[in-house]
Amino acid sequence: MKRLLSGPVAWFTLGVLAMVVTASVRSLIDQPPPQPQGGELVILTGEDESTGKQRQVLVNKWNLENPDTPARLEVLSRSSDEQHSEMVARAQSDSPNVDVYNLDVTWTAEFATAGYIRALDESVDVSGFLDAPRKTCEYDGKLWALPFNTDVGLLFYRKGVSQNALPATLPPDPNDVRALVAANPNLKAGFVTPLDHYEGLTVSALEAIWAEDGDVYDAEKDLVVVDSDGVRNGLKKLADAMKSVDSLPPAVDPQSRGFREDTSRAAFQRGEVALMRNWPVAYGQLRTGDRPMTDFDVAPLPGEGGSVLGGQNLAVATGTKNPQAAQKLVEFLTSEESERTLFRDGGLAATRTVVYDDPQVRQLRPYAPVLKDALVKGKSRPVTPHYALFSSIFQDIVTNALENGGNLPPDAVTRLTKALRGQVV
Amino acid sequence: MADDESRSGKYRRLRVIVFALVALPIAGLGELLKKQASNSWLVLAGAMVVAAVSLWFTDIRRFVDWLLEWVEERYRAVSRRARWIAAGVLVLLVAATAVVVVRPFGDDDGCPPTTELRILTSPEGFQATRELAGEYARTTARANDGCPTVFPFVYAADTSAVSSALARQWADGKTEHPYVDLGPRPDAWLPDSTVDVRQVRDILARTLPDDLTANGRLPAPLKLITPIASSSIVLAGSAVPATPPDDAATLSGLVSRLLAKPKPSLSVADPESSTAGLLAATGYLHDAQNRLVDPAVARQRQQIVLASTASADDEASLLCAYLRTGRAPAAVLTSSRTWQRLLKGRTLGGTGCRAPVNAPWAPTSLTSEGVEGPVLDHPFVQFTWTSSRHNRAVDGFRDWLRGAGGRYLAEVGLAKPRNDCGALDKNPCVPEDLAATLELYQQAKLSGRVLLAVDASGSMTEGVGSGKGTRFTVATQGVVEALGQLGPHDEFGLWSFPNARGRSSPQLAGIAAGSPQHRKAVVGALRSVDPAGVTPLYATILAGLREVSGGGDAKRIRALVVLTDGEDTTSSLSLQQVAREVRKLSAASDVRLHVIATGDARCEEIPGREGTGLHLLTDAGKGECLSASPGKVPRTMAQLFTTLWSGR
Repeated sequence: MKRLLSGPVAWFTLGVLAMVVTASVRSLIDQPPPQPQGGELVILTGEDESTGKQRQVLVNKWNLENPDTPARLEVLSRSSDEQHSEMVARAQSDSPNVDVYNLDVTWTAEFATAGYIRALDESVDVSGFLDAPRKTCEYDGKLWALPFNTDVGLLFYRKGVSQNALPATLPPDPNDVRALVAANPNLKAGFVTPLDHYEGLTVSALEAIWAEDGDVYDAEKDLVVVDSDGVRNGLKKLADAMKSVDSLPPAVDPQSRGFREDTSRAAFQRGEVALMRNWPVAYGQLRTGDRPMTDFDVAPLPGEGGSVLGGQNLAVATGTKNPQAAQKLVEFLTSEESERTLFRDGGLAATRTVVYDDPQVRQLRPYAPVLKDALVKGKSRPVTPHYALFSSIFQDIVTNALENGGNLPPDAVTRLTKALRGQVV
Repeated sequence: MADDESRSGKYRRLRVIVFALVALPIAGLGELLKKQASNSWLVLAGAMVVAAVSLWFTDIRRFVDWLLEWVEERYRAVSRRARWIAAGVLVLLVAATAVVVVRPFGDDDGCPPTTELRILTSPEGFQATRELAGEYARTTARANDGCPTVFPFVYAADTSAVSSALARQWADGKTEHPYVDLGPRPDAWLPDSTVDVRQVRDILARTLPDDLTANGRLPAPLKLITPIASSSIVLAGSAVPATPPDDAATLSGLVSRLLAKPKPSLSVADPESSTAGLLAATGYLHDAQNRLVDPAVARQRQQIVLASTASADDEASLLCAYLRTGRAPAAVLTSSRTWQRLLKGRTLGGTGCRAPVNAPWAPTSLTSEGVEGPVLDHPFVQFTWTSSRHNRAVDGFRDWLRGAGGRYLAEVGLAKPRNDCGALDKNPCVPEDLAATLELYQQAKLSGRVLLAVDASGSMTEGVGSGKGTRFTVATQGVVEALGQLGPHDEFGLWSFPNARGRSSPQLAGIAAGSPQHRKAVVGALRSVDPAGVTPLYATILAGLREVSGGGDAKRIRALVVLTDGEDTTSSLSLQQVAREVRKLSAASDVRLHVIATGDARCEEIPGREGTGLHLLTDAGKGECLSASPGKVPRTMAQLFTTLWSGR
């Protein structure tokens, strides 16, 4: 024993012990052991776009029921880029002073990997949530958040368009356009989808690619699969659809290259196009304003490709001093009753199945069954901690492809593969 | 004996193998920890592991000997069955270790998280700053296996909008919400000039004890100011001589010669909205000897500028207006940064202003070499509130700009920094009598006669932001703020469209001098409006232009300002037809048309579709179309009215 203690083992043990003590002190400085306590809970979130500010309504309700741990919405800009920047910077700062983050669904992996948010307890019951939005809260086998509100692309169409004239897939083909023009000879184009250089371009391009059974990223193989017929066909069809065929209007409005959600809506409202891809919130926007529209309806996007899922998830910040209360708040805000309030009164798409079957909700939101069906087919964008970089590189590649008849630039795979890992060329 | 030697040789080989198997993974783990660690504590922990292994290495041979002897003793002492069990346990341990060590590599997420770098800059400097920040991120990636260490997020806001927010430490004020209206709290601020930083310092100086700002001390949150580039104010344009005359050694001397010619023309951005515009104004409000000109001369020169300049808040908008017409300015006072960017075909920024594909307007001249004049000294401002991690990133960006990144300055239109500039006071890049120049400008400007027409259609009832009310209530707040800047000689009237129930005209308050009673009446009338109905935008614009042209003297600036959140829904005329009418009315009466487009209204042309966008109307009306999100309408309106009351 004496030999053991005076020899190399003693030296090694001494070094390792010093390391362990250092790491423990560091851990205590960073994350003091969580203890249940009172105090305000801060929710860092983007602006509430729901009708009647339903998020604040829910927070007020929580505060009445939980006077020891009142919550406060700390509101950031409406721009998701600005929200992302402030949230990440706050998480990286010495004193974030945030208990709950309201994250865009594409940020979960980034925040989880970087250690900005805590995995939720296994005790959380997620059985009532729709599968698709729930999965956006999971990463690396853990549950990091609960879905606050969801989103999915819908096909908006004029009621003058008969069901038979609706295309079987997007973008519409020349025969579809012929049928649409027969119903409305004044059309400038058949369909509009946002293709401006922003996240909307990622969404529209992914849906065009999925419609051709292609994909950009194979998560199981962890492989960028953009160099495939499905991707080439999808982008080529999209590029070709912006050209006129047989003196018919183009299938996709060429102006879409400069359109976002609001300008797409305006083109649809002006009657320039018969079909539009947009988020559910456009339903209420079209029905209000100084030129309310009623002669339209919605359907899930046609075809088997599915639509991109959007929405926001509530996650508990790593630095919170009161993780139990923060998690309780997240569970409250995503409870069945809260989700009902958000959708029924505010128009934010609910994340819980049961809300869509509520007769009262269906009366106020008649498109609820269609939305629910679309959500079932909704698909997530590539899950990576470097999504923001990946999406911006993908947008550059799609822009290049659309300007070159759908042909991908030769370095597309390399750039996207690197971007998935956070690297730049 | 031979057996002993053979046995000894076996032990040596075995020792080497065991040594490698045990020592290398431990040292490797320590190195990995050092490399992957994102903060100094983890680096320290990694270093300690390596140190522990190193200490161990010093006596490794003795340890291995002891270990082998120990294993051999145990091996001989136990039964055959126990040996099999021990071997099984060893295999399991090795397998478990492999899983623990190998798994992190299998789950590799690539690059470690980047440090978010929030960079606030001026609207005129946005594009150049974004290009520089992007290049810096790529530079960090090149030195780090392709992984950038920072993620720069660049955004822009006027100094007038950010100065009080900075002084308040980015906290909410009574009516200001910086996080919502301006964006994230910046880690670094890159305004155009130290003149901008002075504004923040002066606000702070009014509230802090003298000793905190005495002797040039920077009050918190200002921490450090470093000049990172420079950009001279230059005289450029088709009527500008290629080389300065020998007797014109100063910019104001050059400008004085230009203005002495028959039918002179000179375009300058608004001195009250743009710092570059303010420094440019010193060029025409001084004489050849750099003395302030006489008030009468200032008034005369101001009228020349007014007549030659399409209304523009900043120099990017000013040059974009020329870019749209395809006509080169005869003479413009602007920063060399913006002029160089224009000639290089780089994006200038601003709504609907696209980068020219080819260098436009060749040949045009730029006269600045060897001429003494004001200079934008491009300070890099750091704050006391920045956390340690972001501070390191900010320092890195600043040092790169001052060092290796300097070679990219010319690419984005900037020159090397002037090391003699950067001080808040007694700065050779900034004219000493800037305050007097501004005062002279304000005396020279003309009073205004302005009619504001506010959209009160149904869509204005849509909500805006958290707890801010509807688009219409926010617009009302904007009107109140705009009226706060009304001078005693300015005249103001208010319309809303469509006509409210019970009214036969859009008029809420007729055009009258800005007395307190009139202001009160205007606000009261606006608050009584209940938005509903359609959007007769075109009819209102044409009627409004006629109304404004019907009064006021010719020297007074006359303008119609329209706030709308959507397109016209009632007129049978096309946008182009209305633009032709606007051009006629504006030319006949010199009334300018300005539009603030919010909600679904669009200033800019829809790409690929010529003849769209409300800028068509404002271009015809020699005014400006400003896009503003509903929450930013009050600030945009206040800025526009600052320009209008200044007679521009």
